[in-house]
Amino acid sequence: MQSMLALTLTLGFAFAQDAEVQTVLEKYRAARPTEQELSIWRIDWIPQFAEAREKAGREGRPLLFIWNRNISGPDSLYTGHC
Amino acid sequence: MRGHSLSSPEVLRALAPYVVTHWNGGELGEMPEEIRPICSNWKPTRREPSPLLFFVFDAKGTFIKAFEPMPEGRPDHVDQWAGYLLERLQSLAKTLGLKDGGEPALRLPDVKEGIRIFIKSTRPNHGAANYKVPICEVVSVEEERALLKYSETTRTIDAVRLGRWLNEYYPAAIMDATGKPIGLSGSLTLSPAGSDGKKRYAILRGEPEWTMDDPRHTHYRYRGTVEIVLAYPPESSEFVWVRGAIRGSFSKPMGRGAFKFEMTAAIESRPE
Repeated sequence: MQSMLALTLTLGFAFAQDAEVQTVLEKYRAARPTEQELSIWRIDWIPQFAEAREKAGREGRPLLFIWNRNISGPDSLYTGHC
Repeated sequence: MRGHSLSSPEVLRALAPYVVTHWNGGELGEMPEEIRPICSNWKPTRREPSPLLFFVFDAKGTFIKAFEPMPEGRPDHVDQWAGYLLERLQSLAKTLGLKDGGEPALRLPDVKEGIRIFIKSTRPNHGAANYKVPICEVVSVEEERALLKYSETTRTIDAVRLGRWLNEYYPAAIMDATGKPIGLSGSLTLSPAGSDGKKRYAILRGEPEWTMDDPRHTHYRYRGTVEIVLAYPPESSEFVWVRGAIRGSFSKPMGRGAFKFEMTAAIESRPE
């Protein structure tokens, strides 16, 4: 009887903790952008020019180089920190 | 432009054949040597040239054309930006003989072993396009693996020790990408959170405070609530995945008031 009680308490404790895990995972899912919001990453971005040129040549594709004259910081178009 | 034409489904489809790269800066001398001669020959075609310029090359690396991707006068309506760029890309597709490759696949920034963090800002009454598209950054896992080892008891972790991850939590459009957090204070707790038989779980929680440098020597602080689930296999104390969120308000002093807006982040480990 005592062992049954201990098992019930243990399972109950674990279940309660798991519910908290699910709550945090729900918050993660709510915060994660949708595919539509992420559509800018449907562009085949290659951060470095030399690497992009090499890939374009290898794959027989045209290369688009975007010069952002207005920004002095790193990687803003690609990652979004601008 | 990220929130205007570069998010338009039609433009994305027209860009699908291209490998795309970019460089930021106004000093030609700092530009990659390979591209400098082409860009230095570019001449403005307008009184107020577009801040972004597009240079197109064929697969052999031969320069084809340079053009301004933004319409003159910066119209308010997103469709006008997208329509302007689309016309130019369609004309180029004819020149280059490009075919419609369909909807391109999603290629999110990735890292071999690390975390990906998405940041979304809701900035009411400010139409800046930069806020309409999320930020996505990746950071490798290094000392964090040992720092976040599973423990049967709750541990306190100084937020600074997770600075490599947490310091990505700041919005877009901060002084030409040169503004960033310069300080992090507070602590987080790592507590065991049960097991489902296959994995053991822990939750990392806390409310650290970031100090931002914008960087006109303007320092200001903001807080966020961090909640991250970590999963561990039964036989190891090293996590196999993490997923969580940060929720907070960003407040930047402006004159006598402040710009305030909500900012959320989703954090997930890579590979999945």
